[in-house]
Amino acid sequence: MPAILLLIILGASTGLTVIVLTALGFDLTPTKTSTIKDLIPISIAVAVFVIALLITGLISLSVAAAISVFLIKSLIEKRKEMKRTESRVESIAIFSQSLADSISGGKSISAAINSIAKNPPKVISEEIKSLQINLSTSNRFEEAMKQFVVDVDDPAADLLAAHLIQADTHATANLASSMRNISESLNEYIINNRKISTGRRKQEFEIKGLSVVVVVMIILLSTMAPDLLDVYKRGILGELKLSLVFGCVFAGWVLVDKLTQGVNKSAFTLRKGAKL
Amino acid sequence: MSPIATVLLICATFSSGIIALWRSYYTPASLPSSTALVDATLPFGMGNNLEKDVELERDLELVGKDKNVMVYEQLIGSVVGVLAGALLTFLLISDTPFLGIILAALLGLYGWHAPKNTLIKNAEEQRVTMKQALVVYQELASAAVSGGQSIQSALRNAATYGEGKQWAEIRHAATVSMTSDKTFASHIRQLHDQYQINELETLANVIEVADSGGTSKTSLQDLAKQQSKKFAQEALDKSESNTAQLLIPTTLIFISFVLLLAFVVMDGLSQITL
Repeated sequence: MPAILLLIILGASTGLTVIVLTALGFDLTPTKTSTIKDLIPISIAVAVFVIALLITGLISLSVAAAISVFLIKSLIEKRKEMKRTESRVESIAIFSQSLADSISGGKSISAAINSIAKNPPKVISEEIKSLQINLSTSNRFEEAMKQFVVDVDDPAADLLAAHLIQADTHATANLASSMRNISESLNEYIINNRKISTGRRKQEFEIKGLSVVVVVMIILLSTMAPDLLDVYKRGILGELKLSLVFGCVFAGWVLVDKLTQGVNKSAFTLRKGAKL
Repeated sequence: MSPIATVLLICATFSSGIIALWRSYYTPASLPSSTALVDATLPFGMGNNLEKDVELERDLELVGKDKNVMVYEQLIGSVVGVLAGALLTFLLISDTPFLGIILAALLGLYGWHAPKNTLIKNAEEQRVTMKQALVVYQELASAAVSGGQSIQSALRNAATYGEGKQWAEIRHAATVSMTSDKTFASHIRQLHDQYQINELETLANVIEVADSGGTSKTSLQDLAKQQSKKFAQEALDKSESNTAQLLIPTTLIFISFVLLLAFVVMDGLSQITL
């Protein structure tokens, strides 16, 4: 009965919110189309919700378990993306340094790219090879560089490309030095990022440890002294109390997700279709 | 509390909470006609206090938000705060009205200030993006100058590369100055009035001196280097400050642990009959 009442309240509140938001002129149509890959975490979350509800009978705990699926997925993806970004930036720095060396050795930009493409930095090797192909087939240097920017999809590549396009258009004399500067600042960015993540390890460990303690405590109480958890099983009030507990945990993790971003790197992006 | 009152309180908190959350991610464009209407309906001249706050006015202009929209957000925020405070106290903690009033007042105050803090944060983000754009812009211009271009044409050409609001504003300043009476420097100074960042003032001075033939090529290169270093240091400081703020989530998770046990203990104590 309390569970049904809670569902009615949630349903009514959501309905009321939708009516109010629509009346205020908000467009509630989803903008992104879902793919099968997006459906996997949703299916897992639904399964986790159903299993937790069947075992414990607590809605708030089941909802929290389902939300955890998304939270864990988001944190894992963010970690992977940060590693990917770092390796990409590292490769762009190597590419930039190689360009500086080749250009200061007397080569033209296209010749320098051709020679680097024979032995390119690992992470962006495909992008450099396709840049080389585009440069040999297309007449326009600018178009080939812009395609490279799209392929690499990193602001560091945008900056590098802007310098190269500028040099190609206006015959910049000091291109090697510019390339060397880009490489240096990217390496500095990587070093600073690593320093920051090392400094954060202690706090991250504490947060993980505390979260594990909360989860282990709930498991221990529910298996060894289930009577103690009766306070959370007494209708809406119990559910709300448990929601408050999980609310604090999730708020903490959302903050962790927000605060553990890497050092802000240049958000420069090359304007598509710019007349240079 | 009666069940109907409880249900209504939960509905009101939940709904207004979602609206407040939604509003914080959505900044509607200000419409002059609707502004007049909203202004007239605001009780006790609540929008007037914002007029006195020049910095806040600037921030509102920078993020493109109407002051009345913010007052409404503040009202919604404080209603959510008061309701949440009352709900938390009466349902979960105790039936003491005094505690309820204090918690409701505190959360209500937080709800009133939260939209203002969000606005300040959004305006700060805009300023940081402008600084980022300026660093790259000056770097590109200085590379062009070292390649033999004049400072004026290098500064105008460099504006054509980037995309985004801030780049569009620099580009607009560069192109409009070619056809209008105002110089490029005065357009940049206008941007400085809007953003209130010293880098724009410095850039305006460099352009002004360059127009009179006084700026050397190396001074633009030095400026680009200095500002790039300064910006990198600021980004590093921000990350360090985020690391220090990790204490907040640690505390939140610790509070959740304490609450988990406290509810169990309080329940046990309430069942003891002396």
